[in-house]
Amino acid sequence: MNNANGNVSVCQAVTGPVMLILVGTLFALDHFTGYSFSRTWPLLLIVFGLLKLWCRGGSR
Amino acid sequence: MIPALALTLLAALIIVPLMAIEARPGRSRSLVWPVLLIALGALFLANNLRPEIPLFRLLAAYWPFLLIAWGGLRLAEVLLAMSTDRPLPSGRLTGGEITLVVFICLIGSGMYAANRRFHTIGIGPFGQRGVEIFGEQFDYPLEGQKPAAGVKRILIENLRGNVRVTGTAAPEIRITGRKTVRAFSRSDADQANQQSPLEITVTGDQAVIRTSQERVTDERRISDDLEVSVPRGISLEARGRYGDFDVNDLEGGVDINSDNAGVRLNRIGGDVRVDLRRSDIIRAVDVKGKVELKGRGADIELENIAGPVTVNGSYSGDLEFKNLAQPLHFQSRQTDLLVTRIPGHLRLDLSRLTAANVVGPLRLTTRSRDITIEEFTESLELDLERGDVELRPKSAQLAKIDARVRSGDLNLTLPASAHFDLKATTARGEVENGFGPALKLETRDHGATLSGSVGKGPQISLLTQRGAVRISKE
Repeated sequence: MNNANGNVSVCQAVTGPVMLILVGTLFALDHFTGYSFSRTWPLLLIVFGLLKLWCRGGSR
Repeated sequence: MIPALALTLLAALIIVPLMAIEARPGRSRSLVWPVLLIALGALFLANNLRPEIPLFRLLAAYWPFLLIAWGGLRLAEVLLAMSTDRPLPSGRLTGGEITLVVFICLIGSGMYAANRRFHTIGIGPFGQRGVEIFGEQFDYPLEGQKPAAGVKRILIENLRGNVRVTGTAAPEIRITGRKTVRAFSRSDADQANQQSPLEITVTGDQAVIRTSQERVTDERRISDDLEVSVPRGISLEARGRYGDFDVNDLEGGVDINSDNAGVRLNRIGGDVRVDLRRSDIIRAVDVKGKVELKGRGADIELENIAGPVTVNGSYSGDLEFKNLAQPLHFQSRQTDLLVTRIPGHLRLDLSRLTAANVVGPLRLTTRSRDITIEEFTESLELDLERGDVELRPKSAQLAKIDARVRSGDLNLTLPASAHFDLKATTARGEVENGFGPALKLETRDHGATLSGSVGKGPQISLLTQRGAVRISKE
């Protein structure tokens, strides 16, 4: 996952934090609005996929 | 108790993996763990020092922000590293961290579901609980007066707050009291105060006292404590959700319906009906009519009741009945008790029933309790699953006694001059005979039967499947 010189790219560094924030946000939406987690969870896949695409694009 | 256990479990489930993750060699020095540990420590310290803060409910509602804060801190570290040209920290979540996230989600969702089942969580940045915790309290005096000559029935509608009603000789309704509004600002509180005026309306022989809390969108912020003087001859009906009712000196009946209340009634001339979903105490003294209690709660105290008493529901505290002139019928999921009169007292809690000076026919069916009934007259019928029984009739003039116990000792103490026809059996245990050769003992397998007649008297039948039977002389 790291670059050839061993450094971590920006997209790799932010993937974990962004996913954590997203999980928390989806549960908060579930608790305080009408958007239940059972309906919004596919966003996790979409955002994770987008982050991976960004990482691939960045590493080329 | 359950929220405290859940909080402790949550703390253990979060702190232990945190320490394990932090102790890993080669772990980069992240700000996240120390900050989260400090926040958790502060939360639990707050819970220990200020137990009145509903930490369980707050955590149940706001736990997703823990994940957001965790992600935010990690993101802040990345930005800090970028701005200072240091190597970027790894953004990958380790296996331990992913497990922790899953645990937090599972436990948080469980707490949220449990909390929703019992309480409603407010919508909005802080919700209703937020106003209760972070808001300020504003007080407003209440006052009202209306002539009430000819009024026979008064209805009080007060969702939250304590109500004290006193019957007087004056033919008017007079109210004093205090309204408490919790709000974030004085203008919010003023608005809520204006929207919920105290109203007294008299139509024909009926009067309605209304605190109008339901007109404010978020009615949980308002509570009205009322002192109400009414003409003595009226009947009272009161409805509420949370708050105590204290009613004194009325010649009519009292009907109280609330979600959560303590009820104290003194010197009531008519019938009393109390229906509560939850209560810490229901106390009624000197009631001339019948008393009917329904619902769930803790303690009940009834004293000097002239009419019949019916108690139906689930009560976990001490139940005390003194001087009941007419029958008592107590029914709960596990117990059915019928007593014709209680000139003395009868006390009941989850593990014991004790009674002294009661008049039968007395019929008791229950699961698990130690039972002591002394100075009883007339017949007695007892069916018990588990517990020891001690019976002592009042005089030598006995009536029929029929006691069956699945597991427990049966002790019967009779006056020396009593006449009776006895059959006492234990399927596993011993029998003690205090009446000598008039009673015949037969042992069989692990049990025994004592039978025979002492003079000519009523039938006494005692049976235990496991335990001793003792017949003794006073």
